[in-house]
Amino acid sequence: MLSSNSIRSRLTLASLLLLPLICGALAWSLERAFSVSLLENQQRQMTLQAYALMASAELQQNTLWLPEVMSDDRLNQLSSDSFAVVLDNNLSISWRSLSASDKAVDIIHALSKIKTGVSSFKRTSINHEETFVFQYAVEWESDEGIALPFQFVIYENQADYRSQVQKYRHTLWLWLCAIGLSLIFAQLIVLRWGLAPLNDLIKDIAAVRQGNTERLKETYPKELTAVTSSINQLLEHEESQRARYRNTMADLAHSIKNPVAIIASELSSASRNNQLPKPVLDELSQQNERINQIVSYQLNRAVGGAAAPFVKAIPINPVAKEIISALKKVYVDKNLSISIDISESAVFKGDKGDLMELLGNLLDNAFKYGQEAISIAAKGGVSNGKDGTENQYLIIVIEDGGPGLSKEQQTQLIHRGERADTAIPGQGIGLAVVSDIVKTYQGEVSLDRATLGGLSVSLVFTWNS
Amino acid sequence: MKVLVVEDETKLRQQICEALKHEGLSIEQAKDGEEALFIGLNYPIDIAIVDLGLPKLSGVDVITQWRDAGVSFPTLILTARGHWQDKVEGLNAGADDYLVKPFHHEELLARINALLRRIGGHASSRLTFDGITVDLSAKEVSVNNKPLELTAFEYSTLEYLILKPGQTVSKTELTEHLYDQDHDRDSNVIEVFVGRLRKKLDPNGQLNPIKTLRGQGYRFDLVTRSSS
Repeated sequence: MLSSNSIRSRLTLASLLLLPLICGALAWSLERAFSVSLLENQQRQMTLQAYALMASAELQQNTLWLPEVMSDDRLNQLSSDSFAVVLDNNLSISWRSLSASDKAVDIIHALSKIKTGVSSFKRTSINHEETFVFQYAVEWESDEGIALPFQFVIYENQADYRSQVQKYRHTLWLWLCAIGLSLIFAQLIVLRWGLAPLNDLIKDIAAVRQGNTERLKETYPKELTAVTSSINQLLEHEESQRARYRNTMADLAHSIKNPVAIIASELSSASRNNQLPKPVLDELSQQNERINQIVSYQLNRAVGGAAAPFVKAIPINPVAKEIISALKKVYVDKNLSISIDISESAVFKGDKGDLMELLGNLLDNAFKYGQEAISIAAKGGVSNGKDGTENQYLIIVIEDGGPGLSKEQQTQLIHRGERADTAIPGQGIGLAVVSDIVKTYQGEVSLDRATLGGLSVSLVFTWNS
Repeated sequence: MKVLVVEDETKLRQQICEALKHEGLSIEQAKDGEEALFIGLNYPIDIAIVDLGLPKLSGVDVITQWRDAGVSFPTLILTARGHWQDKVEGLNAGADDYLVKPFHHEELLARINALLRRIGGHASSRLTFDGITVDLSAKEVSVNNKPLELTAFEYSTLEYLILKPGQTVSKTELTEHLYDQDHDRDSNVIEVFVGRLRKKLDPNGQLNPIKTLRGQGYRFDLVTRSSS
């Protein structure tokens, strides 16, 4: 099916429509030229015939005499395609060729009056047959010096002319069809070759969208480089925007967290030295902790952004291993057995910082609460949606062998800033931040009891392919 | 034990230093990355607390350059934003633990003690050596379940020797690690402290926990039996 939304279809359709028109016009003009050439040739031939008749004519007693048998054999045969007559001043036949013996008299009716010295060439119907007629008016001077007018008239049937035109037309169309088909075939090849860079660009953009590459290639034809370089600039701009955003967040965190830390430290010192009444101290500590929680939560959930169209897909495996390697140092005393089962197809389409927040918070909790063993599993792939569209999916499951959480605690922890265990700072915020980042990517978080005995956290993401 | 505190925020740095001094730890401090790099490479440091957002040279760069130069003292990183990208980068650069600002002093001290225990290869904070029990978290010592009264300096000397089990520690090393940089140093004082410690830990002279190796220094020889 040819679709109007496809450039290839449009060009193919245009070629298919234009080619017959061009072939038709070409055939008409060539046939016309051939026909004109044939007519000119015919006229020239008949003129020569007339001259030959005049050359053989002789005036005797004011009457032209011509030999009975002419040098042109066609004029001597009955039923010939060609015949000739000589008319006197009264348009009476003063001589006729042998080939004209069986022709009716109405041959004269087709003639027109012409002046002396003038010739006429026309096509007319004589005895229901298409015929060329050539007339030439001359004056013959008699011995007495009197100018006697005569007309030499040559007739020739158009059958031969028509046959030649017909043959030419047949050959012409045969060749035009062959050339037309060859042109269509060549056009398709040219279209394929000419549109190949566009196909490459489409594949390249898809590769960027799927995260297999960061930039479009720079080897496109000059007509496309303006587009590709603009897209690349856009990608760079978006990347630098993200970097600037991250740096601004880091600066903001540094600017806010240090004063909060100083206040916390001062309050701690005041508490040790009994410098403030306990109720005042408790209230100040509580409010400072509240500020810290709000700031921490808001800064941590200030994520890099949901899956933008051009975001590189990040493989889960190296990021998870990098975080696990770091956490092993922190929790070196726990001697945990760590199971990692992450398939190569498990990729995250989003900001790397967001992925690190997700895995970092969940793995840190698993290391913190896990006893003996923790596990991380991830897999990805393509699934078909209800509407028939293809979706990429990612499932991450992190389990620990810790004490786990009650259903009530699980519900509370998903919500922002609520802490299950205030003695261990960060627990509540970590899961709430994870929940918020997952929501930003239209994903789902679910908590359950792990096969290892503790908490199992599952994250599910889907993206349009 | 000598702690290097690297923090560009003056007030916060002073507060951390005061809290650590209060726990009997000796302090070196740096306000930027370059100064921290220099101190870490040239002074006897037992543990470092490094803020990641430092002027001149970032905390991660400081730690990387320390590790490249073979400096292996444990390092605790402080991070304001608390993002995992920063933490992982710091830890994989060579840090051993992290703490997100703001933090309670108790948490900071607990993390430092845990890191110091690791130097001595002890998993628990409560160590028992043939009747002598040392609680590294509470900084308490008891002999045959009877609490022992030790001065802060005596405790620091014992802690340093315990955290270097089987290693000979010279008087110079002890002086460097137990005194601040600008403190008047007298190695004879160390002899006095070690003498008093021996008497308090082993009044009958049966255990001989701290051995003197003539011309070399001291060595804590008892084998631990850790308990939680």
